[in-house]
Amino acid sequence: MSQEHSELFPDVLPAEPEKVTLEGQNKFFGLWFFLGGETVLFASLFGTYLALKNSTAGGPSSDELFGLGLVFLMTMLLLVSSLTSVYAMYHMRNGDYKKMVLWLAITGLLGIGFLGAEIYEFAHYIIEYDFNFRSSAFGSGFFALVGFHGGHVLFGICWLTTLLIRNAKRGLNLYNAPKFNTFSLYWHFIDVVWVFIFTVVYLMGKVG
Amino acid sequence: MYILILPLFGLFSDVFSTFSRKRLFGYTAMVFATMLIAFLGFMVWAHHMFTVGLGPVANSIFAVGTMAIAVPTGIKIFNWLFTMWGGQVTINSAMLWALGFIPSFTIGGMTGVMLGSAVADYQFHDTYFVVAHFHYVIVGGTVFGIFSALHYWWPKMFGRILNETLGKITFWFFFFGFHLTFFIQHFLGLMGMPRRYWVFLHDQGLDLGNVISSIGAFLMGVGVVVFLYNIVHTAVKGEKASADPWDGRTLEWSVSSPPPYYNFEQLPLVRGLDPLWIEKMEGDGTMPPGEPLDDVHMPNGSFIPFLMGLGFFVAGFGFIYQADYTWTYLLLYGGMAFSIGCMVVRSLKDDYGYHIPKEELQKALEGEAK
Repeated sequence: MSQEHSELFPDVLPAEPEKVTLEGQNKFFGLWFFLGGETVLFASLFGTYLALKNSTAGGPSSDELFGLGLVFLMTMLLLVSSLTSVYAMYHMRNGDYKKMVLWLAITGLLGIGFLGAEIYEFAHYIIEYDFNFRSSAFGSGFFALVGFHGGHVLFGICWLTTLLIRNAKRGLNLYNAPKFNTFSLYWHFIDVVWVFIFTVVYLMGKVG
Repeated sequence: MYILILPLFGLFSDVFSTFSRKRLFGYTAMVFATMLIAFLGFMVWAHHMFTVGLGPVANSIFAVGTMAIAVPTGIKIFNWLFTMWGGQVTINSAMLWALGFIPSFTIGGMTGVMLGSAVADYQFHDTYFVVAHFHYVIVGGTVFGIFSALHYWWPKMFGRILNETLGKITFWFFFFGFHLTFFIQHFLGLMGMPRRYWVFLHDQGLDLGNVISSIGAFLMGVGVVVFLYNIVHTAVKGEKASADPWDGRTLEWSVSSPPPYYNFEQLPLVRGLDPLWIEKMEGDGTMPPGEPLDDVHMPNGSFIPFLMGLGFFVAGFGFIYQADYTWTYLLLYGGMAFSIGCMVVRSLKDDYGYHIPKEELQKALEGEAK
């Protein structure tokens, strides 16, 4: 780190370290645009799923497949991980790097737990019910939507791991604070999408 | 379609106001019309599939939506005409393309409304009428716009003005060839010639029309060749461009041609629409600074975004062909892994950018003042 970027490494961090630099503000703004695009993307996947959900081609229907117990567990894991990422951001604003890393690590572990449960769920459908991406239009719609969300969780975990490893030894500064903040925002978005999947795919799949 | 034409709509507003030496007529209405087209343009996609059996309700909704786009587009056409009304119109290459755009694109818009009518579309669907229509909007709109933009901004991009005579020759060959090629295709379509065939049956009354169409295509080809020659000619012995060769109205004409890599030493103080023109009329003709002179923070150059795009590009082929060829999984996973690897590298490598010192900017400012 050269002398001329010393303004990025103050001795005492300001109250909102993620929004002090122009770079940080731009990252924040840019991520909101990205999330806007993602919203449209997921909306089309939801639309496709709803249009195809009754086209089971003689295979199992949503009512026969889904078990709400596992899905409830997954929902709890992801909702709690969103809460822990809020704790992490709280500690970031207090300049407490160690506690931020701790809560982010917990966030990541909860995400891995969610992903493990989802992989188990998918494997269960594929092996026990012979229900997969190509078995019916319902299958394509389901695995495209839920799988795409799972892919986002996986991406988020990789992102978080990279961030934590890279910054493991150097503490919080004005250069990396926006990076943690954008991750947290992304993670909330993934959580919100899951709330819709839980409602539209699983709950509505059980009742109608 | 709409996403292709909207950027060029912006360009036409610039060209018409600059070469009419008037501000854009109905600026607010223009902005609203743009937003409306952008909004409606996202929800009319089913007008390509009226004949697949969506049912009367869906067909009606998409037909009405499609025809509704003609309203904001009409607003824009009239505003451009009113911009020229009473202005001091300069006709050069850039303006010729813009003037050629208005009738060409309007014809395309009219056939668009015809196609938008779901009932009539059962006749037009998959005939050369459709081919004629979309070439009128995409060539008559977007391609004309791109040519206009190239002639208008070439001096700003490369510091040399494209040759005017060659530019006019390009336009007339292309404009004449374009209408010769595509106008007759409306009639070929109405006579029943289907699209997506590279040969057609002889002696069905379609031969003459197709010959005329081909002649027009050659004329367009001549126009493009003249344009390519113009690029080479300009690069070798073109006239050097001043900062403001067109007596422009907007900010880009207040910096040198081509602009310095940091664009502005200080952010300019903008006092309204057409900011440079305001300074020409009410100020000293240069943009006053809107902030004190200070170091400018710049991002470092990077190849990584390009490499990411390359990885996704390769992966795209994998996604398409994995159903037929197993080996294309290599492209799919290889491309994705490469792009994600680029993201990881970008995340791991610190990039603080750099500063242009105040002194260097000061020197540049003094150079401009001389």
